[in-house]
Amino acid sequence: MKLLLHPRNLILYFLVAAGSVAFSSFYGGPASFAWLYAVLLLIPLSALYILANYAFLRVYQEIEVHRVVRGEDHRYSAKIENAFILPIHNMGIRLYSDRCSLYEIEDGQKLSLAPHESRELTSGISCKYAGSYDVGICGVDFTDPFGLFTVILDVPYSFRAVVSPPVTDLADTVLDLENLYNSSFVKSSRLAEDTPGSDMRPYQQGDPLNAVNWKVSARLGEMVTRIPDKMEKRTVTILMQAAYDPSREPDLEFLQRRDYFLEFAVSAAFHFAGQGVPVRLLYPAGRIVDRTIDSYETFMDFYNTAADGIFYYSKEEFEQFQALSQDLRNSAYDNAAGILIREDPGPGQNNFTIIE
Amino acid sequence: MEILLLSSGGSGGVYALWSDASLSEGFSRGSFVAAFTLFFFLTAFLETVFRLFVSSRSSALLALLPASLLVLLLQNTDFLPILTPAVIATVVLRLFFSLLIRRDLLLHCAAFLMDGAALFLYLHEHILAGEYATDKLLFVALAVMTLSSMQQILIERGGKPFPLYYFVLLGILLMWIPMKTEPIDWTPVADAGARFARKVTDLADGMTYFLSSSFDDGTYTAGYSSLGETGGAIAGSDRTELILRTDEKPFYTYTDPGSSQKKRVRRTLYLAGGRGADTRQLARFLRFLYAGGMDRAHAAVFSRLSEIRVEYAYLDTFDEIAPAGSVLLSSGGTGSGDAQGEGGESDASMNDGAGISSGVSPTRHRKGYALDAEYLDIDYGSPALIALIREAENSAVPKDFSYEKACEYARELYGIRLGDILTREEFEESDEEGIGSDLPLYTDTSGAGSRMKELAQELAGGDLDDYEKCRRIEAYLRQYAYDMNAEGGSGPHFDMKSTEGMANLADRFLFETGSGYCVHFTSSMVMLLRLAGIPARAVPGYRYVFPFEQRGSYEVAGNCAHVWPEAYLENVGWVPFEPTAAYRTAAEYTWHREAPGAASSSEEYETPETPEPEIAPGSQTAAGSEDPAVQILRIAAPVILSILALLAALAAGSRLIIRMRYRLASPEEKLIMDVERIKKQLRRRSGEGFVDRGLMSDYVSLAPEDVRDDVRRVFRAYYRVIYGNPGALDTRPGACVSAQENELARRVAERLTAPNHST
Repeated sequence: MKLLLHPRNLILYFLVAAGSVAFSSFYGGPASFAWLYAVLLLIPLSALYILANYAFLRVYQEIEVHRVVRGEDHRYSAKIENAFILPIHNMGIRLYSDRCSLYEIEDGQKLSLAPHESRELTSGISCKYAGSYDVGICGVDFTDPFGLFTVILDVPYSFRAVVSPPVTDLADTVLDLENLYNSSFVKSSRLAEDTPGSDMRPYQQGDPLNAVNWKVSARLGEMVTRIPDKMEKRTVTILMQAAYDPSREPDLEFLQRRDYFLEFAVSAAFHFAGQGVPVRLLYPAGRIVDRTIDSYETFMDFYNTAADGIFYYSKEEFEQFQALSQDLRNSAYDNAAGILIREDPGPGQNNFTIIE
Repeated sequence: MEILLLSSGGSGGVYALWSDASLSEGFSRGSFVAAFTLFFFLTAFLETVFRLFVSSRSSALLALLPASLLVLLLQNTDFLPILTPAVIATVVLRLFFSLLIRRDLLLHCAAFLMDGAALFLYLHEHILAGEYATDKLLFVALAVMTLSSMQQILIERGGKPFPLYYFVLLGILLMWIPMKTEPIDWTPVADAGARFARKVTDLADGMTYFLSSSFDDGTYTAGYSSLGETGGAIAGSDRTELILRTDEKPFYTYTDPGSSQKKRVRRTLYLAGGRGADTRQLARFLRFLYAGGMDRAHAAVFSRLSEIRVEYAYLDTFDEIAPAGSVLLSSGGTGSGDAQGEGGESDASMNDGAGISSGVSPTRHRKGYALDAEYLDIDYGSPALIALIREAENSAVPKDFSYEKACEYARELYGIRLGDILTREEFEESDEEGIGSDLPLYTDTSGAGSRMKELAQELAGGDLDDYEKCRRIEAYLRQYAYDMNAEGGSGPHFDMKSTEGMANLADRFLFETGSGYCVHFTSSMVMLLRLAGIPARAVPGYRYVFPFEQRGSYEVAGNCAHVWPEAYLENVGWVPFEPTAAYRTAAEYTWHREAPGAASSSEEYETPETPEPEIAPGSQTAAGSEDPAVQILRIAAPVILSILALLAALAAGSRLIIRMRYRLASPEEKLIMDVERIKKQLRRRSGEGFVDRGLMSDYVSLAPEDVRDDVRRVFRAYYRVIYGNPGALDTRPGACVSAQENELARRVAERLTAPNHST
């Protein structure tokens, strides 16, 4: 709850109150006391009226889709209901304008509701950051009849959206792909590349020319081809080092960092996957998760949980992840290579580090 | 707002127009306003109900029909004659406001106009002062209306006003709050402020007191200073030095013989320091009374035994400070709730309840020390006592006044058990010897100059008795100016402890400076008395004048510190005088009591008789008249029936009109009416969630499955009628819509209207 005082009206009010007291000091009876008490009761009665309005205010918000993608337009609706027997007058609607855009609803828009009236507000909505956070109407404000003060209150039921990051080329420009690829020693259990094997068989139509063992063919006088072996593809490891601060509210700075963090991770994973390179992801989802992305399905599994699935259960997991990151950087993984993406880089650190 | 304005306006008008004379003739103002308000709300309610069927202005007119019927019914009865004018006033005002153009704006203006009118009546005509509940109703309604109007004019500025509910709630709250007819009394607030200021001062004083006790050499005194005063300039002090507690009244009452009115005179108390219980003076005084033949009733004219508790506040002294004339002193332990120093605590705890024999304690008394005193409160200004004193100087000492007789006499006069406070030896020492061995001390005139002697001779020469000499000297000194910014003696060592010091102070005061304060006046009187041959002494202490209102405790400030002279009169004892010009003499604050047998005015107040309440003729139910409940029923029943009949007529009439319009309408109009009925039923079925976007397709989706196709066909025809190109289509009635379509629309509308049609 936040209270805003309006000095000009308050000064006028106190002047009137002082005049009423002065009048009542010289004249008795209802002629003076009715007005004096009326003036003195304005503030407490307004406060009670506002509290009653707020106590019986119902706000239900929804977006037409379950999962929202950052920057895309979706339909948003809010049903606002006054369940009280007293009307609501000029209630201000306050939006999360810093994190989402509502096209048909203005921040500070006034709304009056008769007793037991409900009103539905609909609008297009576009979320500005990836992550999981409250969007839509953040609060309401009520002003007393004479504009002495305004009370800003949180909306009784907030609406939390899970906003997925778009896949962009954000990571392309900063990754040394070839170097990473060549330095990687982790293998995919699903993806394999063909290599010429040592077993041979007679040539069959359709065998590629580079599979023909010309030396043996020349010796035997017939075409002989090598039977190809399957070799596991080497992967890239990405460590997603999310920030850990359970006491922190998801403010704008947090959302911006989480947005960059998610977009970078998703884009990097998609980039490698697009090149047929399996990506091994290490990230906190309560506990530390080790996931390899080597297909569209595995990418989508990761993508669908990335927006609201990166967090630590406790500090223990955070410290464990820090140690893991340090081990990797100290080459404890024996020639392993990867990318460390930081959500909250320290001074002098980049958002990502390529570990070779 | 309109209701408030009307109800308040009605009452205000009544107040302004009707005099008390007209009201007294069975015409109760309160009843009229109550009846008016009741009928107004009734007509407003009926108007709201009738508005469901007809327009707002028609509903206002229809709502007056039951009221008119009521007026007719009331014509034939003498029951509640107030109702007829109330109903008429309601009808007139309702009609007036129903037909007003721009009613809201006018109501806002009317609120301010009525404020002005009501205030004018209140301030200039002195009515509406709150004697009646309707006065309060009027001003509460005006306050509510004014605030509502101000809110719309100043804050909303023509926009949608704040809900009236808020202001009605405010009015209801105001009606609950009692409103006095007197203005705000700020006395409690001022008293609280004074108490707070006093507490702060006391706190500061306490801190200063303890700091001074800690760092000073132990000789600190404030205000009270024994006889160490040198007569230099002094500053006043409001610091509380003593707290007195007594249950006795702080004033004496008497009847003024000139005006025959009862009057009060405040008590004046002299508290002497270093004296203790002066039992010898008591013995002398008893002997003096005995010689004068005083009995209990005569002694009570100018003396009585009083009790008081004296608590030390800002004091640090060895002296016992007690009322002059104390006969019994005992340590009262610690004061009530006051902090105290270490010395006071140990001192008090040691002496709690113990008798105090000496005027100077071996231990130091500090804040918190208290003593209980029984003392003879003597009116030295009483003419009876003065006459007695003058007689005593020339009369012989009674020889038969033995110790036993004195004990008996003391018990008879004051209830004092003399044997407990005075031994036989002490009694006998006080007998005949007067002040005995102390006489040289009180007649010492060392240091007195020739001019002072001449003055004494001039003032007290001749054949005057001692008392007269004292009065003359007192009167002479009272001509001198009182000035706290006075000069002391010729040197700093001249103070009142020695005769030379007093003589020096007196000499400078009498013949050089001509102004001073109690120290100078007292020194002068003591020296002049001694020069006139009358033993005299100076007594330090306090002079406290009680307030008129009785309190639990009385605070004696430093400003009350005083020193006064006492003269020893033969056969009488020590008698105090007040030469200091700033203070009143004993004669000026005398108790004004007369000796028994003198004519005294009645002490009883006359109690006015309470008149028997008169029952106004006609207010009682006449014998044989009809029961009021039956009368009310006889009036109310036709009214209620007429209202119900009116409602039924309106409902039936509106249906009839709708049917007639439908029957006479063209096929296109019939279709439009059917479509409206269909839409209305569909809206009703959908509940509150449906928003009419103007699309008939939305209505189709609301229709039940079994009639949805029919609804769609009807709407298609409706679209054709509404949006068809008049130039391309036949515009003749019935050309745009077929009879089948009309029939279909009617059937669908009826099916949806049917109560048993399920979705």
